Amino acid sequence: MIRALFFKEWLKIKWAFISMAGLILLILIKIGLNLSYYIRILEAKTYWYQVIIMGGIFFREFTYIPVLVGLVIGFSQFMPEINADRLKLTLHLPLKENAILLYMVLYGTAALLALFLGTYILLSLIVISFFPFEVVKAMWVTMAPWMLAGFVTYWVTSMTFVERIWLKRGLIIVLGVLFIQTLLNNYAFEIYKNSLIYFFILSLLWSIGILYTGYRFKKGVMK
Amino acid sequence: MIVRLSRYLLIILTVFVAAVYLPQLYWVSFEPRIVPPMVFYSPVLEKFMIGHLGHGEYYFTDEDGNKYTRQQADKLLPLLNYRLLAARGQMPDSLLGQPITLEEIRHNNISMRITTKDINPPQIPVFPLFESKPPRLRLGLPDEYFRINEVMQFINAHTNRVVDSLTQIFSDALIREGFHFPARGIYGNPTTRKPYDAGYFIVDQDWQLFHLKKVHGKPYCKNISLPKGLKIVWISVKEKEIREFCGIAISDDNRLFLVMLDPERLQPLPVKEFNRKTDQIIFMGNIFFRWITIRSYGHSTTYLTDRQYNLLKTHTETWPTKEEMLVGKANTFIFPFELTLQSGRTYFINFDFTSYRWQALILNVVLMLFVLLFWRREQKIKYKWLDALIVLVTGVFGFIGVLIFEHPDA
Repeated sequence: MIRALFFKEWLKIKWAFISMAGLILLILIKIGLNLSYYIRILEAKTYWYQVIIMGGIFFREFTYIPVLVGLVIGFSQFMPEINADRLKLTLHLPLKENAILLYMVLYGTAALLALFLGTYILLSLIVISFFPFEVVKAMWVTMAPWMLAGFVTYWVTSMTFVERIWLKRGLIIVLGVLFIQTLLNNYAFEIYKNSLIYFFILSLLWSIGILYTGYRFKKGVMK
Repeated sequence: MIVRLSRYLLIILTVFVAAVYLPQLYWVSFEPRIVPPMVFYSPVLEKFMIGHLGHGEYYFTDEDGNKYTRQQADKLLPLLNYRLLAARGQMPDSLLGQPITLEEIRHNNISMRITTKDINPPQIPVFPLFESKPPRLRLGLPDEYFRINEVMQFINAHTNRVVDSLTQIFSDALIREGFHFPARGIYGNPTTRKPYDAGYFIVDQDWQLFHLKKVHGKPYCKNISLPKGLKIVWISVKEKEIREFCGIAISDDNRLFLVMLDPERLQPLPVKEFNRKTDQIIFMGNIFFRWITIRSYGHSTTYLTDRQYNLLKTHTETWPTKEEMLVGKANTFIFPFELTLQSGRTYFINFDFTSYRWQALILNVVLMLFVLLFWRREQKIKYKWLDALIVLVTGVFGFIGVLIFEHPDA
């Protein structure tokens, strides 16, 4: 049953997943080309200075990409369910309703994790060929909150779709946007170093938010 | 059960978001401009002169409270305003019985400021080691950057590979001076925009302090003897034209030292109270005096010394903080606490909570009663008591959360 459910989720997000993977690849290629260009034009020592000493974040493109990925995967997975109330049918599958919702979110989360892990690995490979290991490490810590923002975006998107009251949807979106904003600072390397663990815990709280709106959906709350 | 849990998690998230943004909104709307007074020392009056910005005009008072306009103060602070006075033809040719020239004044005037943000900023621990005696005189970026782990390792920026020869020579030089790897701290001023290069100051595993620079491609390394038990946790290296010293060192018990050159040693500064997490250091000086202002929140203390850093006198200034003003008091009745992510004291993002304000309980109780008695009156009390408790503790923040996310079984 769960395999069948996951297959259904895959069919929904397939194109979103592939296109987002393509987008990430294109941006990685751009960053790689930029690095080789600047190292050629400015000289390696000068470009190292800009990055290592001046704190120039050369992968700034990735600040908002995880948010976009979370949004696109969330839309592709949950918009079809809301169209003509198909979620009602889904919730009638022979599984507990909460379990179905959690498996759906789990699937999307795993898809994001795959994309973000891929980004981390490929970007690390690019960076390590131009910079010492310390820069790779700084890149990991710097990008982590942005990736977290991607997950939160996805969770907020999923719970917003399942909610039926427009006012509540609006409030959840405002809350989500304000929360995600706190994760997207990119003015220096490693600024979330001390607080990352707290942000991680807080972000996780969003992950089962869909149960709240899902319960309301089932009950048919209309006001 | 898990549905109810998910609701409370959403309320916690609302409390977090509200505690960050609502106080921020409040302060953006109402925060007054506060300009702390700036303390100088007048060699003419032989008194502290304090510059204030009040109602758009800049004026001075001296330590006895006498008021001076900016015009009057210009002549009382001739070493600070020497360019202005010289242009007006009003520059005295001697002060405190000593003849002075403009060149001497320029050379000896000094001003350094170290803020909490300068101490332990985000940093990638790889540094360029400049040639201190460049053949063409101008400082230039080297091809190699170094890191210090179990050796001092140089990496060539072009090849991104370790340069074994330099690694060997510099590691050996450090070991010869008694360095114990790895380094606890590496402090320098990696820029080419400075009058000369002092190299780096490195604290080793045993809290010993070393001075390292590259002279004609070779290591210059000195173990700087420190008083027993002294642990240096930060050095702000700032090469100035006057080569007496090249920075300020801070110990873990918040004592301050000047890093002297020729020979290298640490000169204690007679500063009594300092906290590197909260206070700013303003170091100023001229031909005759040095004065160090430690600026805390709402007050500052200035220590005047002679050129041998013997304490001559001190002066304390206070100014109102926003918390003491009406806007600062009013908000403590609205918000039971505030959560600041970017404090302005550091580049890092932290969870900085203010202490809990009991006076906000008045509003909290009102909001709690509203939730208990008026909000969704059809709801049974058993669904409400935890909500009421949340509102009682978190006040307006929790109130918003409870209003947005009503109980799923209501």
